[in-house]
Amino acid sequence: MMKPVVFIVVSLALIIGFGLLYTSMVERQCKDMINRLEEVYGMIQNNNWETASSELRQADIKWQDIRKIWHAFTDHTNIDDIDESFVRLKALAKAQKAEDCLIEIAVLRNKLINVPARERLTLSNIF
Amino acid sequence: MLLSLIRAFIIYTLVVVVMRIMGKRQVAQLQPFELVIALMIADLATIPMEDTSKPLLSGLIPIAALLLAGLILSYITLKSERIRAFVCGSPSIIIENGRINLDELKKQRINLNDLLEQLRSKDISNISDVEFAILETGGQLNVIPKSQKRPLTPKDLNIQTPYEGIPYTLIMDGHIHHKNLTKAGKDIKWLSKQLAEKNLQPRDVLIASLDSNGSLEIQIRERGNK
Repeated sequence: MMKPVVFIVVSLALIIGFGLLYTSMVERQCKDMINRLEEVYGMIQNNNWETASSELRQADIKWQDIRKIWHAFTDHTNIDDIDESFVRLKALAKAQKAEDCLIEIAVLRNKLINVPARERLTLSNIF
Repeated sequence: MLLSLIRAFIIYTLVVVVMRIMGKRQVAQLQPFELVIALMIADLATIPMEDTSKPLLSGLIPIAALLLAGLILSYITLKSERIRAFVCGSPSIIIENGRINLDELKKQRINLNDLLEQLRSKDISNISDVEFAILETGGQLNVIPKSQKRPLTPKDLNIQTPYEGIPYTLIMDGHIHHKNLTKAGKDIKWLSKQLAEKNLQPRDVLIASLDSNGSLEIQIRERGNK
């Protein structure tokens, strides 16, 4: 009699625990990415293209690590959108188009804010 | 992930409630319009459950609408025989007086093998033993054997049988069912006395039922089964 109850409680606890951990991890990773992008934003504003490109490369490497984990649990459309933004941003940075770069960073930043916002356990997300 | 979990629980609860409101007939035999509703509800429930980008209400509202449509149609078919015949169809006589009605069989798109299989599942191996075989609107085949082939009943032998009421379950899994106790015309004192005679507490009892002769059957819960 107790065995199924224990199984249900343990399974639920595992799912909820893992879910909470994953949500907080996504939030942390997005915050980190946003900070990096804001640094790149500042560098481009100061016309510091060399450091901006190097920082962007680092951000992209970091993103490649993050997306491997996200692939299992996050909507693939969101990941593809961020991928596309990164590709566009790298190309624009290479061409040193400051205005377009700044716009793309703002868009990418918004996408990164939206991912954890959609994962968050809120009434508006549930319904 | 957590969102999917909570949304799945909400939708599951709602679908269980909806199926419960649709009535008991829903579970046993579906009329065509009920089958359509059950299929659509199943489909509507899965979309917002797996896709968290879709609002949950986009699944809940159509499910509620289908429930209402089902209830309205059930009410109408209950009141109007004409609409009932149109929506639910009417029973078809497949075998009459031991002879297969081939036209009806074709109309219902049932082949002879299926018919024989259904008859065998009802312990009938010879078609000539069948008085009527009726394909009901819910899809099940009801068979009425010829009078000579029907099982013997006490009435055939003119034997008087005593009234057999339904036994009342007084204790189930250690819990006393007070409602049944009142229905059976007994009280808790009587039950306690009966248990005390056998040196038992309600929690020791797996099931205790009282039949129409007033005899209390008790099955004790075995150790380790608590």
